Amino acid sequence: MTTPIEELLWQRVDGELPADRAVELAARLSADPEARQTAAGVEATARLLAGLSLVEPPAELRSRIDAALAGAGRPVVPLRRPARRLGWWRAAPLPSRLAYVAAGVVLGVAIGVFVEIRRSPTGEVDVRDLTGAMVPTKGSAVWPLDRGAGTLAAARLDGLLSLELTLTGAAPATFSLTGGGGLDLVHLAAPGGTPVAVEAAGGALTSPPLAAGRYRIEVRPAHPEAPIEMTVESGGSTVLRRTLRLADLPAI
Amino acid sequence: MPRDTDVAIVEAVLRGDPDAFGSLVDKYQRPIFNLALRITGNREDAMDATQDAFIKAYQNLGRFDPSRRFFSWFYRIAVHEALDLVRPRLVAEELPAEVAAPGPLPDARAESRERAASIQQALLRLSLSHRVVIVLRHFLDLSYDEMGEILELPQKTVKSRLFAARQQLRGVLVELGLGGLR
Repeated sequence: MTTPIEELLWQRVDGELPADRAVELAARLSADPEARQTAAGVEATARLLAGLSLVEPPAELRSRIDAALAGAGRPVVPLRRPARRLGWWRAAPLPSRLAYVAAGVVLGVAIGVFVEIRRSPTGEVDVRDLTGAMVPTKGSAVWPLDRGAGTLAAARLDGLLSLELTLTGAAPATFSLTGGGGLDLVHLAAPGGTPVAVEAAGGALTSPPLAAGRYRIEVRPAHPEAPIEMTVESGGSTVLRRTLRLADLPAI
Repeated sequence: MPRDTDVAIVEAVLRGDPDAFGSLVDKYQRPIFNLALRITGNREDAMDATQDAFIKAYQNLGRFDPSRRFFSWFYRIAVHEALDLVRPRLVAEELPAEVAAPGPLPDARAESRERAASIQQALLRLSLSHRVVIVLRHFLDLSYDEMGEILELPQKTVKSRLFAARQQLRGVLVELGLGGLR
């Protein structure tokens, strides 16, 4: 598909036009008067934008920041494990060690059962953190995945279904979408923005197995009112199945 | 943008020197304020977003991954803070002229001041996602790669979103009388 000339012109303005595309652009400009007119328009807009300078912040901003920092407490520093002290364990007789192990197992099982009982399949959690997420902010729908496998957040962005899948489990997970009267994948991006290939078959989009991390998915449903089914599978079982309509989501 | 200096400052803060953070405030308050101002279109909101971005960054410095670029992590926080302020408002406010070009200006610059105010008006008529990419590219002068890192989008998506944003912006500029652009 031929790239629109305007897009090439903007890439040139941005200094991001690859050499081979620069040759293509030059040829199109010399051959087409309409292209030259478009170029003049792009350059005029670029000049307009380039003429804007940064505004100086108000003088009181710095003192406000300093005052807020003074009351902010210390930064959270990553925890370091203390040196392991096993002297008491080595000194304990064998029956005592077995008793400690048994007590530990019972306690672990009890905590696991308690957590499982307390987990609400519909409870909303705020997974937003400061590594930054465009989706799970105020007003977005967020669902926890079963088995502590992570979360899925959804919002509406310029007519797109914008999803953020955060995987925290050890087992890889696959993510699939179907419905919406047909889905057009805009992208699935791994942490850092690396694109991930998605299989499209039978009206469904399915990711390859995804390791732990945060993934961004954007799709355009053909019909915003049509239900879209989202499924996340991990370790051989379904950890989330949810149906939504784009029209019901908060816009961001 | 120098990366090592920022990371060294972060490490100094985490080692127990909170005053070191002041040099990050010196360096970033202007771009962060401008980022917030162009997104929110409101000076008071921009100050709040800037302040909150610094506080969140400070409190969470331990979660910054030093193998990444500090500014992209920080700009991302700031984009969120600004978006969170502006999202509840469905109607964009117009940016007062003194924000677009603050302080007394000589007559010779009156035209550029008006132009700056019109561009800001146009910016506020863009959708939020388009507004953000225009601000990152044209006000903070970031590359596609840096924008992708901040927005966690593939470069291809950054390019196409920026292209769509510029088309929308051009249309609005023409409507506002900054013609001769087509």
